[in-house]
Amino acid sequence: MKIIRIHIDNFGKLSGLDKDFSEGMNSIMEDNGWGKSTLCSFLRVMFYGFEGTSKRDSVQNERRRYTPWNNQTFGGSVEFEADGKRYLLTRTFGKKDSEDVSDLKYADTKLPVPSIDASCCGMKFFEMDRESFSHSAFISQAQSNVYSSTDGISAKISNLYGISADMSNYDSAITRLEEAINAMTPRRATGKIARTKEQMDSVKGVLLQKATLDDVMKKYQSEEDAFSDEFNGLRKSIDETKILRERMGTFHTMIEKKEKILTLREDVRANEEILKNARDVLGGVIPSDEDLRRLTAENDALEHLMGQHENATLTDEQKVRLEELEKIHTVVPDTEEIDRMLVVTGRAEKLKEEMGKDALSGAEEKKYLIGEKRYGENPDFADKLSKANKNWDEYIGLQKTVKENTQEIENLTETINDQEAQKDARAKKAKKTRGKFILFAVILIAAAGYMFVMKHSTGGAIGLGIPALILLVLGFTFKKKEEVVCLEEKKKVKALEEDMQYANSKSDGMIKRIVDFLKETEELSKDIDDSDRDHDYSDGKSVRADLVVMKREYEEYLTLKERYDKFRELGQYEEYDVHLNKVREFLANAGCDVPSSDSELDDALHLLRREILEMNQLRAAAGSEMSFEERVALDRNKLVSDIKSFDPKGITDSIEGYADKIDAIRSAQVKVRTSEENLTKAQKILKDMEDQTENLDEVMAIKRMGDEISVEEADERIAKYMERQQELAEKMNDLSAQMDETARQLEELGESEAELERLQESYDEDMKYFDDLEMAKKVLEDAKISLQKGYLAPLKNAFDKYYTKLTGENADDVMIDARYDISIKREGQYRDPSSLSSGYQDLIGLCMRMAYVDAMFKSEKPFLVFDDPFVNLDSDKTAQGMELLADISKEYQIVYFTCHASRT
Amino acid sequence: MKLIHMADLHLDSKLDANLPKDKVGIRKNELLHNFERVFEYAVEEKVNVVLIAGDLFDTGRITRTTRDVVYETVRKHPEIQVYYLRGNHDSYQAAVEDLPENMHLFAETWASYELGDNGSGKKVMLYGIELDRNNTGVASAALHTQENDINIVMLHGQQTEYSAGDQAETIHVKKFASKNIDYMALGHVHKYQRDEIDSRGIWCYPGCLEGRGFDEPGEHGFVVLETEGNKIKDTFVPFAKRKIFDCKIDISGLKDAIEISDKISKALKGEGCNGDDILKVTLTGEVDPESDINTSYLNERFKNEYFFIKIKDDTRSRIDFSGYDGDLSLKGEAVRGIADLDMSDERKSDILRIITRALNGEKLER
Repeated sequence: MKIIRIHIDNFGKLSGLDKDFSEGMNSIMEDNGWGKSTLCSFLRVMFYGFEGTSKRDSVQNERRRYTPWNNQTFGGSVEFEADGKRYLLTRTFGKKDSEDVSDLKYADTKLPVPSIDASCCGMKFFEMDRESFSHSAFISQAQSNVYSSTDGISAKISNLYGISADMSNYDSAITRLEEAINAMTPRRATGKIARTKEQMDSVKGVLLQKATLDDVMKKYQSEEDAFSDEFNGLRKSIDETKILRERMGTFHTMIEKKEKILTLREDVRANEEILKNARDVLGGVIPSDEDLRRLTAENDALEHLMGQHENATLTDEQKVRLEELEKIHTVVPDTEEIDRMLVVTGRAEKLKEEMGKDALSGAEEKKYLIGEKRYGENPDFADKLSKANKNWDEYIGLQKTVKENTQEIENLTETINDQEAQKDARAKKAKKTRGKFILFAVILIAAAGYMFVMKHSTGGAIGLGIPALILLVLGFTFKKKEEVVCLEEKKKVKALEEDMQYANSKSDGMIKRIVDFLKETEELSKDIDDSDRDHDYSDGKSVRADLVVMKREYEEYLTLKERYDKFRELGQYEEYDVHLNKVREFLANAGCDVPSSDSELDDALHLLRREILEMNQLRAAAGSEMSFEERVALDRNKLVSDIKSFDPKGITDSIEGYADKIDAIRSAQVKVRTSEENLTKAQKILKDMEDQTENLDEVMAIKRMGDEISVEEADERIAKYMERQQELAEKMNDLSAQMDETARQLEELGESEAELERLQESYDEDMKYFDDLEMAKKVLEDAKISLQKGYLAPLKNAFDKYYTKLTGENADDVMIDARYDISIKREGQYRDPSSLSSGYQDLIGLCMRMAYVDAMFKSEKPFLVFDDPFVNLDSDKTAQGMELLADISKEYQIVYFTCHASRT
Repeated sequence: MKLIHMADLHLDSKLDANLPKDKVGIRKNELLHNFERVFEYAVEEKVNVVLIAGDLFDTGRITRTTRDVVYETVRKHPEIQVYYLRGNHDSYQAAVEDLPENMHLFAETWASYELGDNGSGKKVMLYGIELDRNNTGVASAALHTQENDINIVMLHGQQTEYSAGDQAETIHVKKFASKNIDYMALGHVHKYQRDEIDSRGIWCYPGCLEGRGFDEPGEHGFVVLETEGNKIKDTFVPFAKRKIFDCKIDISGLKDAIEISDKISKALKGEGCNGDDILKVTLTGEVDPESDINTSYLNERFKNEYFFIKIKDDTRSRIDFSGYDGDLSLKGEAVRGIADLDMSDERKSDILRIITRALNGEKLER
């Protein structure tokens, strides 16, 4: 390749320059400031365009730097030859790339050259980029010491030596690798791995708190457990104390009840004791009031007798009495026999006691017997009672109807009366009207008469007479028709009255039936029922009450019957019944009324005894004519005997006077009665208490253990426990809040742990990748070196050739490595040329550039541009340099710029 | 009578470290909400009883929200009785005052509850015991049931056919044979399993209600029990809000990102993955070292299609060194250089892949 001619319109300071070039050496020697470097740059710019167009600096920005000072057409043309063809390259430059106009034509035909970008045809013709051109064929003064290779140089050389196209990608690949390595590096703070490590350290720092927080949490947990245990313990204590309280409450209640019952039992026992003692005083024979009255009467009779001092036989009363007694007691038993019977009744009573609660008391037995008469022997009683109750209900219904009817009748009557009154008023009014008519008629008649008589006016008379006649007729005929008012109401009243009459009649019938029922029922037990009841049924109030009472008594009877039936089924009953039957038989034989109640048998025996004694005495008195003294003695003896019979123990022995003795007996009797009453009361109170007491056996079995607490104490304990619970609850709440916060922090730390795991995984992966990147870079670098070694020898040879030509020395001390880096051996060590003189560096650079050119251009040689390359060499080297150029010019067209003749 | 048997909810537990922080928060709330969803299901299906066979909670301290949600959910459904047997993770001691009235606990000795009857007059009884070192060995002997009842037994631990000493929480199933057990409601194992105890009854793990990590893929839910005459019918009900998939996709022979992406997409569809699911995808197989397996691109490509996806490259590539004989390119030289390195084939492939991408002008940053 060679330049034929150039034309510069305007380029920097150069303007209107034309220059031809020949083959071989073309030296251009001009003074400094002429524009040699500018011309150099023109040649480069024409083929490769401006450098530094993005720079603001007007030196670095070649477009600005070389913009013509005269503001004229900026550009020029180059005619050159390459591959045997001649080309004309014309370029005009604007302010920017887009304003540039570039044109490449064939110089001969002026036809445009297809497929070549005229703005950058250097790539096509030199087969290298601008930088490679600047590092090889184009040696500017400023860069004379630059000799490093470029991608383009390497690639071109590689291509020439059969190296693949990916060599051209080497630099960019290495750049990417380095960029990736830098981006990932753990060795710089900006690297991803370093940043990941920093994040991990930060998270680890945060996680250092975890151990502390874990300990805090454990401590809180421990406190919470302790609080919880204490709280639950308190709850248990409260529950236990509540149970204890209830138990104590129950216990104390039960103890109180027990003690009360024991007291009552003691009371009963005391009363029984008193009664026994009271009875014992009279030897078990308790006189009735009648007995005492008789004793008193006897005493009175005796005193009376003693007062009379007359002989007398039986009084009339005594005779009647004796007669009565003899009639009753046709068989006169012995008092000893009677006493024996009393023993039997005693045994029977004892048996009854043993037979327990089903045994009926005396009163109960009485009720039962009455019931037996009324209900037991009256099988339809229940139905009759039910019917009686229904009748009563019906009666009530009827009475209600009567009441309602009465009310309605009253209302209707009132209405009728009102209407009648109104009707009367109307009738009165009609009557008045009639009267008026007649009156007017009379007046008119009188007037007519006057006219006729006095005035002789027949017409007048007629004129007045006719109206008078009319009025008269009206007066006599005017009356309202008889009004009939409230016909319906009256009918209704009549109907209601009839209903009422019927209801009254029916209800009277109802009442009668009920009363008849009650009377009949009571009649059944008349002989044994001595209860006092008011039987006035006239207002119906008692009837209802009696029905209620009868129902109640019937129910009581049924209960008693049940008990009595059970009683009779008991084992000892037979023996009991045998005893009583014996007594009944005895009494019957003695002519006594046998009481239906078992409990009255004892009294019947006592009565018999007294009557027999009385009879015996009376007989004795009647059987003889006695003297006063004898009668007195008889009466006295009888009295004494009678007194004795009621005082077998002789409590009255020491008392003077029979009346006093009788009083003493009476007092004793009263004591017995009182004791009996007290005992009954006490027994009732005890029974009521026992009946009201649930689980009586359990209550009676309860004992004080000595460790009981009062209900108040239990309440106090519970209150204390609850107070403590409240305190604990508040503490637990506070603790819970603290634990929640700590848990939240731990949760965040948990997330930090997860994040640390993720970061660690990412770190590990990135580190592996980073290692792979570094290894890949090394492998690639080594691969390139290994490849380049293949074509390094020719380069070295060329370098050596030029070096020897330039220096006269061999280049054994110069080493070129696969990267085309040069090192010079000095003092036994290989050194970078940059540590040597600038002249030597220029020398090395020149040799290296020429070695590149030799290596890159095997056939089509490029033109070479040298812009004063020897300026830093000494004169010897300069001379050798010129010789070198002369030698090179044999093969290459050289455009050589210098400002000094010594370097031509 | 209808019952739900569930276990191992592990509320308030740490979740898989793979999930990013925001997703972890969402998942925790979902796991808690699952508890409420179970009760919504129970109401719809007229379930009378819920059995929780352990590990309802995960830690010794649960958050207030978790405690409140659990207890209030139970309280809001007084018609459903809940029986809660604590497991090895449930060390949280709730204050008894807070326990809802319709929630019943167990202890270290056998407790029994009469749940009702089966509609034919037979009693349905529930027995439960919280196993520890002291009672594990004697638990079976201490259980006394009635033959005529329908008996459900609740335990938490690892079932084993054979005695393994007295390790805590080991359930020796054979020892419970002939104990009139119709259904043994277990907890501890996070995967649904069931098998026979004897000719009468079965044991069953419902598995955990929701998977919490990639070690818990597959179906999760609970078991619904229904008394049918003298028997108990059990049905597994899948209930997890999200399924977890751990997929291995063979991309052998595929070279470029689109091919690989398509294969992943098809494979995931084939697995039944949908947008709610959590996926871990591991690329496997043998690929050419020059294949473009860019997991960053793939993760980005699929990240919006699923709740969470993580794609890892576990492919192998082998360099056919002999294939580069005579290859004078830089790459060829690099391969020869790699061959001499003292490292695994896997790593050699990785390095070659990097070199290939570098020479092809691709960005190498992760």
